[in-house]
Amino acid sequence: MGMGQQLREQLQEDLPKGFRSSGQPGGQDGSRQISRSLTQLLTRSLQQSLQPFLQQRLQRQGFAVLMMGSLVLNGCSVEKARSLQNAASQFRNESLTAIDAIDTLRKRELEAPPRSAAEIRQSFINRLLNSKSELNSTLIELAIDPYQPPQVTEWDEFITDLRSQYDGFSAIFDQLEGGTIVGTSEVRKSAEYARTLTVQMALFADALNKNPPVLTQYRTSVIIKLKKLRQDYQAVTAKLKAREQDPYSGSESLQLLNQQKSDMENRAGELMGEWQSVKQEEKRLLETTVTQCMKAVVMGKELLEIANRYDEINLNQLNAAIPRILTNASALTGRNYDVVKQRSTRILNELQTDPFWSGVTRTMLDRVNNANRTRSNLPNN
Amino acid sequence: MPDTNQQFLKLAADFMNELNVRYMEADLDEQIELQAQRDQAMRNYTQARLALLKRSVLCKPEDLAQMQQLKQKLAQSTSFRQILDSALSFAGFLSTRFF
Repeated sequence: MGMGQQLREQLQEDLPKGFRSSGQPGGQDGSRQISRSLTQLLTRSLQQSLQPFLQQRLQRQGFAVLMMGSLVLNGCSVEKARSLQNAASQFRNESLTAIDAIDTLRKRELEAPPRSAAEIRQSFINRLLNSKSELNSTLIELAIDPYQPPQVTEWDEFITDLRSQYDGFSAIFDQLEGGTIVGTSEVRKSAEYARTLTVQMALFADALNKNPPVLTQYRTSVIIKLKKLRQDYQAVTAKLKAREQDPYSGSESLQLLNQQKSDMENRAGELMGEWQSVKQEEKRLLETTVTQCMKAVVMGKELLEIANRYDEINLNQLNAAIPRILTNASALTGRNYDVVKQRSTRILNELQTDPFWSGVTRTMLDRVNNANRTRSNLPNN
Repeated sequence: MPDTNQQFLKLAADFMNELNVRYMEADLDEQIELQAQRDQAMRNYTQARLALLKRSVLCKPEDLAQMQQLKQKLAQSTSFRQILDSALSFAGFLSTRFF
């Protein structure tokens, strides 16, 4: 069962009878009861989250908790709550799209280029019939598709956990239909975890930008073709050289040899184009992924900053600010990647220097130093 | 100036490219022997990328030197056995030092 689902079920148990599952908060007393239940649930979640091994899981609740905390602290209207709720939902969607893009990038790195059915069949026939290994299903499968990339469980778990972090907070929001929420100082403190989600995404964008994807099997496929072509080309040119020295050497006609040489030169040109396409695709993957991460970062950063000033702004100001935030984020496209990179550098700098963000950012960056310290104790191989 | 993590991942990607070339050039009987090592190398390469993405590791100059050595060892391999050994060393190095 996912964390989001667990939270929903926990919440249902804590709600007073008559309010479960219906999603209708009812009157003011009911709202207060719901609020108290929510607070208890959130406080309990927070206490649990302080255990280090659950720390990461709490990140997903952070954004929602911050919003709920803000609602309480400022006694805001339902309209204000809904306005912020919609924006938070957009943040979640952009973040999930970014996670999908990161996952796609990793999968593309290991995947093999597609082959036609005729190629697969011919390769199977040649390879299997010349093989001396024991004939079994493993050999047959390998003869059909030797380039299948392996499953990487650690990666899949990482992506699943990331998705649940953003899904989880949205699930909590689903319970906040109407009524005000009573908060506690602990709830306010948990905003730190909400910030972590945004900083985390900014650091992903930075790490991806520094370590661009390499489509290894696509590159390899072009290298293999070029190696074979070069071998054949050098054999033909050797024959042509021999023909110059002895016009009667070899059985192929001079015209045929010259034609083969010319065809191979054209083929080399095509393969150069194929290589450039692979590099272009690597660039496109990088730019799409980093841009999507940055959209989520811009949205999360500006929304959290506005949530932090919740008590100072009224509904009109909020309604004016949120579309501007969404427009800012959607203006980031991969079409002008230099702008995205500049924005990314600027935001990362702000996350490290702005007091609202710097604590979380420093904590996350310190992981590297901690990892390094731990590693220095490991024996060398 | 690229940092050590960037340089490390670049060297690891170069190693994977070379290993894939050797694997694709191998006949079916060799591929069936090499497949497990090649799959493990791919898995560990992905785990290295994951560690760098999560910033849970900082590569040191000696890691770069070791990876450079492994890359050269594979490039100079003339027998199938040497390719197999290189793939094993690569996977072993990544798993011992980074995970």
